[in-house]
Amino acid sequence: MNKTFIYSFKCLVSALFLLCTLHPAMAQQANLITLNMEKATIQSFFQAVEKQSKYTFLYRKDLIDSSKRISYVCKAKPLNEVLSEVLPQANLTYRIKDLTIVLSPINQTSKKAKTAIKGNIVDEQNIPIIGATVKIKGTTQGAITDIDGNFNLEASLDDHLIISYVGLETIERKVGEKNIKVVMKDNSVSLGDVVVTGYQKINRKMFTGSASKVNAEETLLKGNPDLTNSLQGKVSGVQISNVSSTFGASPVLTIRGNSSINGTNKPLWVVDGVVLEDLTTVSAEELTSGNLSTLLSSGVAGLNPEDISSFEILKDVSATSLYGARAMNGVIVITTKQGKKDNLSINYTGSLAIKSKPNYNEFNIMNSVDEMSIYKELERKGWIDITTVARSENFGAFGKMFDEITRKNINWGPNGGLNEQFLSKYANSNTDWFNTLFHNSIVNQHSLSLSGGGKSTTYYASLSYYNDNGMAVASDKVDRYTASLRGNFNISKSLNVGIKLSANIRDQRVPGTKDRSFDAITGEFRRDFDINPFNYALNTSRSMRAYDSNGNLEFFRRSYADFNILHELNHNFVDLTVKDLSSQMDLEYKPMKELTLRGSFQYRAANTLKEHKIHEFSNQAEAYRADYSQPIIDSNRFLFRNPAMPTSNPYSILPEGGFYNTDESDLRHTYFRATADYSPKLSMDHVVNVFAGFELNKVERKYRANDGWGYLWNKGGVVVTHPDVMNYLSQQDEVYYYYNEMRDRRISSFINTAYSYKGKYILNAGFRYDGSNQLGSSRDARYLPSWNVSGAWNMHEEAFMKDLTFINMLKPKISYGYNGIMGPSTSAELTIYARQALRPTDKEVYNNITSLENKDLTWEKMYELNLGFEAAFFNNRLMVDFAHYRRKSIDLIDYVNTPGVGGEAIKLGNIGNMKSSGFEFAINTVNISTKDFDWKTSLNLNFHKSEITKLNNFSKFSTAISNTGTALLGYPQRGLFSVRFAGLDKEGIPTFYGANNEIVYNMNLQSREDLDKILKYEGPIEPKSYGGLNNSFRYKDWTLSFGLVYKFGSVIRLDDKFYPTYNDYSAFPKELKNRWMMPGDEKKTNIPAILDKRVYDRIEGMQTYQMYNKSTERVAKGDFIRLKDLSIGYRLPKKCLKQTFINSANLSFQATNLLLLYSDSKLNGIDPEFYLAGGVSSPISKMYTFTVNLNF
Amino acid sequence: MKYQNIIIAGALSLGLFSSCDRFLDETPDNRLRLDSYEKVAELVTNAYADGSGVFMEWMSDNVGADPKNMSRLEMTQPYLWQNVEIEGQDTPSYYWSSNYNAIAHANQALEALEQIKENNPAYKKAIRGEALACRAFAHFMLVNVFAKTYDEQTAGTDLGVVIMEKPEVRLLVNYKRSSVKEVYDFIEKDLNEALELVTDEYYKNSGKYHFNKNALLAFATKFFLFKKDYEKAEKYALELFGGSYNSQMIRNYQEVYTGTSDEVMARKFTNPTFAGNLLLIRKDVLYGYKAYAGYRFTEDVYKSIILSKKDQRFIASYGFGGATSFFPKFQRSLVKRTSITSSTGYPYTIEVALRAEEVLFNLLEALTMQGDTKLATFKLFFDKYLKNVYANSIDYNVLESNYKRFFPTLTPQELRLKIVLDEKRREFIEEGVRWFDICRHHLRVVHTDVTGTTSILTENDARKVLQIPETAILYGGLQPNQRENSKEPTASLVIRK
Repeated sequence: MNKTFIYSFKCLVSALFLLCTLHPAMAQQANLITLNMEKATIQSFFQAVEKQSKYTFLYRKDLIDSSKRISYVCKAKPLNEVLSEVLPQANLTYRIKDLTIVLSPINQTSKKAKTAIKGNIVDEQNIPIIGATVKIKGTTQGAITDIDGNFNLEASLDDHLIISYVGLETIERKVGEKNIKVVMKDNSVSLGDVVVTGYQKINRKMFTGSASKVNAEETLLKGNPDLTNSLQGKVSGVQISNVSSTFGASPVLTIRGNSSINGTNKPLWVVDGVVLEDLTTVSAEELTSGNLSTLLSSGVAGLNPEDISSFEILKDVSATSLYGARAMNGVIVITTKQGKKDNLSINYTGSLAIKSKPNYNEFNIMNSVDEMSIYKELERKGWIDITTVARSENFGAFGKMFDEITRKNINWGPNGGLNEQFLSKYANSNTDWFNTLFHNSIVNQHSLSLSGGGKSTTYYASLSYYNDNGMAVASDKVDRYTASLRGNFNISKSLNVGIKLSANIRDQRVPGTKDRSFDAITGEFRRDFDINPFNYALNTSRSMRAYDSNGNLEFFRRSYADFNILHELNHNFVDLTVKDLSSQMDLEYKPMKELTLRGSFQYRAANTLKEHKIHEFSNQAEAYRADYSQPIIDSNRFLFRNPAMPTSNPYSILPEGGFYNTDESDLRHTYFRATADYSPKLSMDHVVNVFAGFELNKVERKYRANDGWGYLWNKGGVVVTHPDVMNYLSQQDEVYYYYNEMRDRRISSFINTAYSYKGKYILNAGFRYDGSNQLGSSRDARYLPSWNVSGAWNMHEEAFMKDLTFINMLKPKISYGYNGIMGPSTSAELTIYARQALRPTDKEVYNNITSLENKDLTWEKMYELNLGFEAAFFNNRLMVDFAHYRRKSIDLIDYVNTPGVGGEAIKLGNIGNMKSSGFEFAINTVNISTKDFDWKTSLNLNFHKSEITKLNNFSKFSTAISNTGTALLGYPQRGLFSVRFAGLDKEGIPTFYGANNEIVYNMNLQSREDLDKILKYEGPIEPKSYGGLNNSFRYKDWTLSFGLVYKFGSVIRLDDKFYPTYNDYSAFPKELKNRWMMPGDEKKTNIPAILDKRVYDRIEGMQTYQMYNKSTERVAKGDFIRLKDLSIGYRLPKKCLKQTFINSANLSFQATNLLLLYSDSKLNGIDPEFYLAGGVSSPISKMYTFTVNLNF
Repeated sequence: MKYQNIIIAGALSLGLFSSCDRFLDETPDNRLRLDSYEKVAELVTNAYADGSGVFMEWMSDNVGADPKNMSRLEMTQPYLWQNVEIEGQDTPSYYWSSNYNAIAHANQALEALEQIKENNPAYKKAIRGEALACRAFAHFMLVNVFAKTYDEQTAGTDLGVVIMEKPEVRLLVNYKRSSVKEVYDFIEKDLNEALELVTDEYYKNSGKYHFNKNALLAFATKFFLFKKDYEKAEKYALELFGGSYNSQMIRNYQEVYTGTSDEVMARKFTNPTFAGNLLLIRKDVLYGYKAYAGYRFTEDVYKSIILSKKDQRFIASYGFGGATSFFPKFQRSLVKRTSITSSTGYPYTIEVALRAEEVLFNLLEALTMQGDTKLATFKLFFDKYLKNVYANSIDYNVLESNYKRFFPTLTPQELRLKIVLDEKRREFIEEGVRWFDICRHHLRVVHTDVTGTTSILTENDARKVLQIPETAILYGGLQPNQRENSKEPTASLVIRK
């Protein structure tokens, strides 16, 4: 083949991979018309169409019969369909020339008789098209063009022909004459038909990978702060757990399960072709921690949902391949809206949502009368008395009584007993903490956007405002402002420039919180000064009161100081500010038809400031000076024991003032990408595309923290720092300020080639090379090659399928690939950090080896086989998308025990393998479709399982029984294990089965032996099956839809609730009413006894009750079915708006998280998705949203 | 024209590729690269094991069981000379890994030192000296805890510990335990070189948290004594003392053990400015030094070892209220909090790892072992020490004649040795030093547990060699020690019905 020959053929594929260049013919396809006409004149039809599209009608006046009335209803239908359905009613036919619809009368005289038709099909370069399908509309007859582009057919001159060829625009035309010549044009890429990988837009027909597309308009739940929330149950293969509803907190989202044992398993977010970096790095575990950092975990919290046009979820290796490492856990590509040429449109969306507060009915908490009886038992059993109260850090009503007696404010009861009169007011208080601390909150959201364009430009600009006044009283509110500007400039025919600017600012106030800390000794997390209102309401004794009998705030004791939650919430909070700015420029240059060069550049700067404001009147500040009695002075750990004054009492280093603690993180992200898209012209049957590129990422992060001691909030901010503060801090190896930098560099190059034969058989292969600085200076470990091959078969294009007209599409596909991701917190090089020596004297700087060099370190890798098929039947009324995947993850990073002689007894290394597999079904049906009534259903079902096939079983008992599950060889990625409960003994103390089924009270939690014999495997933490069902109905202008989500097959551990003893500060679970009270009860109940102090001394140091909390008794199924959303919409009829400047108006009402239709009764109504973590977490609440959408 | 564009694009991307490596050389965070002698010196600062050998005290005859005291498994198991399963602070496995961690720091420093080009040979020598000393010291402690005591006859075949000469650079490496002799030879080589190199010139502050010259001499004395090279042990001890008894270096308990609280006394005891405190090391301890925890110096032990009420070393023992007591030798309230508001944290203490009194006793033992020729020096040194600690009420001759009455069968040399060891025991109560003497001199230990059951550690008991950590055997494939007469504690805290 010589060069001219190659040139002489039209290149098809170039079109497939091109960006939409929006010339009129394409716009026609994208032009959607919505009509509702009842006995209208044909002229009003013309007006309506002209208003909704940019076309004008051209016709001879005498052709129009004004008396003719037509009725027609359609919603978002392509223009050409509308025209060909409406115009025949008026005996008209049409053709489109540029932006004009030329009308002509239907030729009544045309013959129905069939004649031989000859035709020739060429492309715009007049090159014959081989293999194009020519079909007579409404029949199964057709032909395929030969090598010269010729075809022969038997048809009447009145018939319509449908001519299609992959990559070219399908043409529908009337036969009209015996010899026809057809020119086919490049297919434009309109949104529904392409897969947007972020870097490329690929015709869905040519796509071989696994991806799901979500239309933002239809899916987004209005008023929801995090748009990932809306994806729950809507997309196959995507598993979402809404762990907290606080603004900014990211749900735990995994695509196709977890592919790593200890990695974050977070998908990669890509917005308009650029990877979205997290504001701060938050590990997977931290997502459920309730720490402040979780509020910054959602990358998309800064996006205005109204700006989003669509999501594309890329699932398998071939789909994510362009993103290489980091994309192993899937990619979510967000495309924002763009303007349209010559079509100015102004859009306003406003929503008002009401979030309902939680209440006691949802929880299993004892009332105050029952609480009081438990206090009395505690007193009887020697736990609470006047001396313990004097020393106790916290107390409630009972402690208060003793304290008041000590202070001689009240007297003992008769005969030196309890003062029942004093206690009765508390026993009867039955405080409703949810009522006290929560109100129904109102969320406001407003978004205004303008879009349009001129001859060679388009633009989209938007502003939005989000406000949530918070469910909890006092310190809980958010304001978010976003602005976005996007312009596209066609500088010349071959040069196109896109510019995008976006900014968002968030101001949020949350209750003051400290990060939780892990207590290595008890194996529990604790959070000091936790004032999370939800946690407080759930865990605080109901016999305590917020207000006393006179309506004043009533204080009890916490951290040795007076405490009232309402007072505290007003005086101790965190102000969080996020400022996020980014600018992006995209260049597109086509030096020749076969080649497109693109460049993208982004610079983003984001700053997060957390100001923890602790007022001097707050409990947290007062705790630092609680010294009103000797027992408190002796036990208050916040007081300063001055080593220079060993005999004197500890004293306060915060005698006045509060704190002003700041914590700031700063992000700078520079991104650059250059790609070349090359589609050489081969022949009609052979289409090749080569896509290659180069990418560079540079992320700089800075962290600063500063603790301000002794800030007088009430006195205009005078700083009165005690001189001993430095001394106090240094004694505990603490600092008052902190600064750190993190630098992330990544560099990658990639190439992807696609080949298609006759548009039926598609082969794809990709290769990518990634480099990162995170593994350290070792040059061996820093690079990772990844590759994939895939294929698809457009079976419905085959001749043998031609007769099966009910099949619109049948496309099996297969892909196999290899990818990797950076493991968790590892470095191949020797890592040394400097520290200050921890000594009472002789302070000096020393260097500590945090981890040794590890020449064997490599990325975590995964092989994936993906089998799938897409099918559409009955005029696309039934669409099925099925995928099966098998994954093998290797070189997973986990802890490994070494002999210890290298200096690091426990190392992180690539020692684990895991396999996982799953099925995904997505079924979309149009059940009923009539003029006035539509019913559509979409269902997705997912099954997933995983098994660890290689791992150094590192777990000790203490970690193996943890609530978050553990990774053990032969079990899923995270399995939940329980101690086997063996009943209560004669004294109500729980017992357990040991390794040989003997009955024991205690076990060595440090041991690693016989784990599998002693523990019971309960099930996986990840659900085995999940998905959702959505139904939508339309009756005329009314729409109704509801969505259900479900999860099955996971287990959860109930919160630790049972102890040998309790205090008068905490709420009790209702189960405690059924506790062991007297011998014989062990036959009736499994709730352990409150122990007598003497009995307790015998088991002190044993983990008996701790083990009970981790036993088979304390496990529930995580299964649930939830009515996730229900919405009703109404579109104002056109005629109502006729006299106004409003184009269209929609009203909708939506209720989300309405109802838990099913969950394990053992949970007693607690949301199985919510993690009770305290801090800034809050449960998912019911929300009712009213939305108005106006278009001008 | 079209092709030019491609070429330009190609050349541009090629150019970018070539600078890839440089772009990726950026460090991910504030980690350090060892590029100066100062940084290496600061690395050596951390080449001291923070694991405490407190469990050695619990194995010795200095302690008894008190039913009132909280006895955790990691304390009970050493007390009964069982394998210790727990891995946290105060355990042999923590001791093992922290000593090897110290060695890793030293090895990394020694390697880095050779790669840095800096023109300061004197500084380099000093750093090398300290690193070698640290490496030798950690190996020395390990071989004495986890292997048989040095015996010239069997050292070549006795199982020692793993010698670490180079940094570990791979995830998992197969190691083998060397013989005791090989380990001793390795230590001796490092020690000899360190003796040449170590200088106090570059240490900041008191220099007591480093192997200063005196600390190294003390270590040398100890090493050669353990190796039974008594002449050398004597030589280095005398070098430290300047040839004669140095009262500046021996503590005056009357002065140390006065103060308003045990914390004050402990601070005096560990005071870095005191000349007799030669090497201080910060140790992570969980319960080890808490008065209410575990097996302590009891009244029974006290009664069995006390000779005179005037013994200054016991004037400040606290307690006996609960039948056990403790000494103000450790600061017990030091805690590194997990956060400033936290109620939890990591307790630590400062340990005097080498002190002049030990050198004195090592000297006395070395002199004893050399026979009658050194008797004069022996008496000279011992007398002065005894007069100091017994407030002039007892001198050596009195002591010897008393001992003679009680132990008529012992030879004069054996008698001298016994007196030395007994005095040493009194001096070092609670410090874990006694254990090595029990091993080296094949002493018997009798322990009675809280239930009253008695167990005996015989003279040549195999349990005197501690088992190496379970993980080193299971995952590291290291050969375990033979402790045949040790019973595995299957579940000592398990109550069976």
